[in-house]
Amino acid sequence: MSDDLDRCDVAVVGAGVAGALIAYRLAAANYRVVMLEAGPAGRNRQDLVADYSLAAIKTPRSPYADNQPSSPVWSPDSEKDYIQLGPSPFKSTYLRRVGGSTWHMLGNMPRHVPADFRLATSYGVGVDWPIDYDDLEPWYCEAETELGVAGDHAELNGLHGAYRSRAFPMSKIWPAYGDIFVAKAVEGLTFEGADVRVLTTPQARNSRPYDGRPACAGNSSCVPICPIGAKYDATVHVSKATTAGAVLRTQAVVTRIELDSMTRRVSALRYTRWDEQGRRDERRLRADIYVIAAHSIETPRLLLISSDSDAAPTGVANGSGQVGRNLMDHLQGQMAAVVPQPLFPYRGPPTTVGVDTFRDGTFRASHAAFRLSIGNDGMGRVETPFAALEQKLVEGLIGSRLRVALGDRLIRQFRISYSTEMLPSAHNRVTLADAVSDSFGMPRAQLSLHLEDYNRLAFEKAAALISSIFDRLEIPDSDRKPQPKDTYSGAGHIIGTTRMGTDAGSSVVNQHCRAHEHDNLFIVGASTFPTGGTANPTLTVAALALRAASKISSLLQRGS
Amino acid sequence: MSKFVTGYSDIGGELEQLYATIMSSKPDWASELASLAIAVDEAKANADPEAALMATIKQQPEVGHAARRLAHVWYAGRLSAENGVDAAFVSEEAYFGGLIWRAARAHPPGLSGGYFGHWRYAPDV
Ligand SMILES: Cc1cc2nc3c(=O)[nH]c(=O)nc-3n(C[C@H](O)[C@H](O)[C@H](O)COP(=O)(O)OP(=O)(O)OC[C@H]3O[C@@H](n4cnc5c(N)ncnc54)[C@H](O)[C@@H]3O)c2cc1C
Ligand code: SF4
Repeated sequence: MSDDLDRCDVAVVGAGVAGALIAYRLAAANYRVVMLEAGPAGRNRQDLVADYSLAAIKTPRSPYADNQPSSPVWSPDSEKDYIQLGPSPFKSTYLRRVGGSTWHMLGNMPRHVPADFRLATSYGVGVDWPIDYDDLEPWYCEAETELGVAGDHAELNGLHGAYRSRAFPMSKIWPAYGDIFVAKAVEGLTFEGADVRVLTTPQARNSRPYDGRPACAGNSSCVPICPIGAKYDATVHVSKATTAGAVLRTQAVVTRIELDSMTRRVSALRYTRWDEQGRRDERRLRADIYVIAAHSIETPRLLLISSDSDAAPTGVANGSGQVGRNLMDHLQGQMAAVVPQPLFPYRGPPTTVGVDTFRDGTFRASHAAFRLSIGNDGMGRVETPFAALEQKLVEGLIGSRLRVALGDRLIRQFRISYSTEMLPSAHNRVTLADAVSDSFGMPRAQLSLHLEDYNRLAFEKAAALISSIFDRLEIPDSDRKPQPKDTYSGAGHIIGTTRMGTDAGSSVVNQHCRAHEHDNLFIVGASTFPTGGTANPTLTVAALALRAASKISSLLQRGS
Repeated sequence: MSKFVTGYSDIGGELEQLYATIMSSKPDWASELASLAIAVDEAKANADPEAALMATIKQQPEVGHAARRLAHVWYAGRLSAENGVDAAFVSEEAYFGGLIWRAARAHPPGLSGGYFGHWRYAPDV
C-alpha cells in the first residue's frame, strides 16, 4: 500500500500495544490499515541502552532522547511534568514513540479476577463492567500468546476464580534467590484469617527463545528498557502489522477527529507530520473505521479537543459527559528494609513473585484490594546503591573495609511494594487547559485527583501485612523503612477516562469498545476500563484490543 | 593509590586512564590528590595501613575529601554529587564498570552477562 494514501479501511491513532495489535490483526486479514503515531520510531536499542547508562538518574524516560522536553512529543517523566489541579498528585507517566509505553513497562501480566468485573454487584462499590471474566477468558489466552507471557499455569489456574482454559505459552520466569528465601519464611503465615502465599508473577518476558526474541538474561533494567528484547514491547506488533501490509506513519500527530454533522460518523482525521528541522505538514486521512489508541490521557484529550458545535458540542463521544472522568491508577507504596540474611538482589528481573491473596475479598466493600510485589531490586527508591555508597564514604570507610561494608549492606537490601485499586470517581479527571497549548497548538491536558479513604485504609492494611512478613524475616524495627503516611507513587497504570458500559448516558463506549455515539469509532486501551482491579493493565488492554479487532473485522465484512 | 582506596587490586586499564585525565583537568583535584598520595605512602608504613589512612582521613579534611572523591568515581562511575545534583555517568564503560555492582556481587542494570535463571542461585564470587 502506498504511503501517500489518504483513504483506507481502518485508521489507527497510536502505535502502542493496543493500536499495534488491532493494526496487525486487521492487516493480516487483508484490510488496508494506516497507523498514525505521534512519536518517532527512534534509534536502535543499543543506542538507547547507551543513553540509559549515561543518565544521572535512571528514570523511566532516561533512555529516550526522542521523548525529552526538547522534543515536540516530549513525554511526562514525573508528576512535575503534568498540569496538576490536585488536590492529590497524579504520578504515572507514558511514552510517545513507536511501541508506546510498553518500552518502559515492567512487564507483569496478571489477568483480572472475576469479581473485578462485578465490583458494584459483589461489594456495592464502583461499577460493573458490561462484560465478565467468561467473555474475556478466550481473549486473555490469545493475548498471552501474542505478547509471550511466561507463567505457572497450575499455580495460577483458578486464582480468585480466574480459571485458565489454556496454559501459558512459556513456563514461568524463575524466582530469584531472595524470593525463594522469603517464600519459605512466610510459609503458614495468615493475615486477617487468610493464608498469605507467595505466587509467581506471570510476565511478558521470555523464559525461552520465543517469537524471534531471546530468553531473559536477567539484565534487571526492564524499567526503562530491556537491552535484548526479551521483554515484550509493542514494536513487536508494529513490525508484524507493517509486514502484513499496514502503513505506519511516524511523527504524525492527530490533532482533530472530524465528524459528519448529519450522520455524526467520523469523516476524517486531521494530523500534522513534523520533523526535527521544525517543518510541519498538515494532512487528512479518511477511513471506514477509526480506532483511537492513544492511551488514557491523550485519548480523552483528543476527544475533547475535537468538539464540534453541531455533531459533538462537548467533545467527540462525550454525550454522557464521561470523557476524561474516572481517571485511575494503582496507587503504590513500599516498605524497605535491611534483612539480617543476604538475599542477593540486583540480579534477575526486578520482581518475579508476589502475594495475590488480597486481590479479592469482602473487605472490598470498605477498602481497596491490593497486590504485593516482592522486590528483587534492593530497596528501590528508598535507598539506591549509590545512596548506600555515599553513606559508607561519609562514615570514612576506604579500601577493603569499604568494599566489605558496602557489599554487606547491598546484598541485604530488600523491599516489598503494594499496589492498590482506586474506585472510579467523576471528580478524578482529565480536562483541557485551554490557556496552555503544546507545539501543535493543542490545549494541554490537566489532571485532578483525590486520594480517598478507600485507598488510605488499604495502605494501612498492606503495610501491616508487610510488617508481619518482615517479622518472619526477623528484621529489627531499626532496619525497616516504612512509606510515610498517606504518600504514594504511581504504578504507571493510567486507567479510566473513556469507560465502557451498556448505558450511553453513563459511559463512552460499549462492550466492544465502540463509541455509543459514533458508530465507526472505536476507542481502545485502559481508558475503557470501568474499574481498575489490581492486575497490571496491559494484558487486559491486549485482550480487549484483540476482541475489538474481531468485531471490526466482522463489521467490515458486512460492509457496515 | 586507586587500588588502595577502593580495596580492589585488579582495577586499572582504560578506566584508570579516563579517570586520570578527568582529574588532571580539574585544578581543585590535583592538590587534594597530592595530599592523599602522601597520606597513602605514610599509611603503608603501618601494620594496618587502611586503619592508618582512615585515621588520617578523620584528622585531615582535605585527605578525606580526596579519598571519598576517588573511591566514589571508581565505585559509582561518576563524579560525586555537586550541590546535591547527581552527576551524569562519566562514560558507558564507567557506568557498566562501577565497582558498586561487584561489591553487591551483582551486575549493573542493563548488562548481566548472565544466562536465563542465574538469579535463582546465590552468586558464585
Ligand atoms: C514505569 C511503568 C511500568 C509499567 N509496568 C507495567 C507492567 O508491569 N505491566 C503492565 O501491564 N503495564 C505496565 N505499565 C503500563 C503499560 O505501559 C501501559 O498499560 C501500556 O503501554 C499502554 O498501552 P497503550 O497502547 O494503550 O498506550 P501507549 O503504549 O501509551 O501507546 C499510545 C500511543 O499513542 C500515541 N499517541 C498519543 N496521542 C496521539 C495523537 N494525538 N496522534 C498520534 N498518536 C498519538 C503515543 O505516541 C503512543 O505511542 C507500566 C507503565 C509505566 C510507566
Ligand atoms: S531482566 Fe533484563 S533481560 Fe530480562 S526482561 Fe528485564 S531487562 Fe530484559
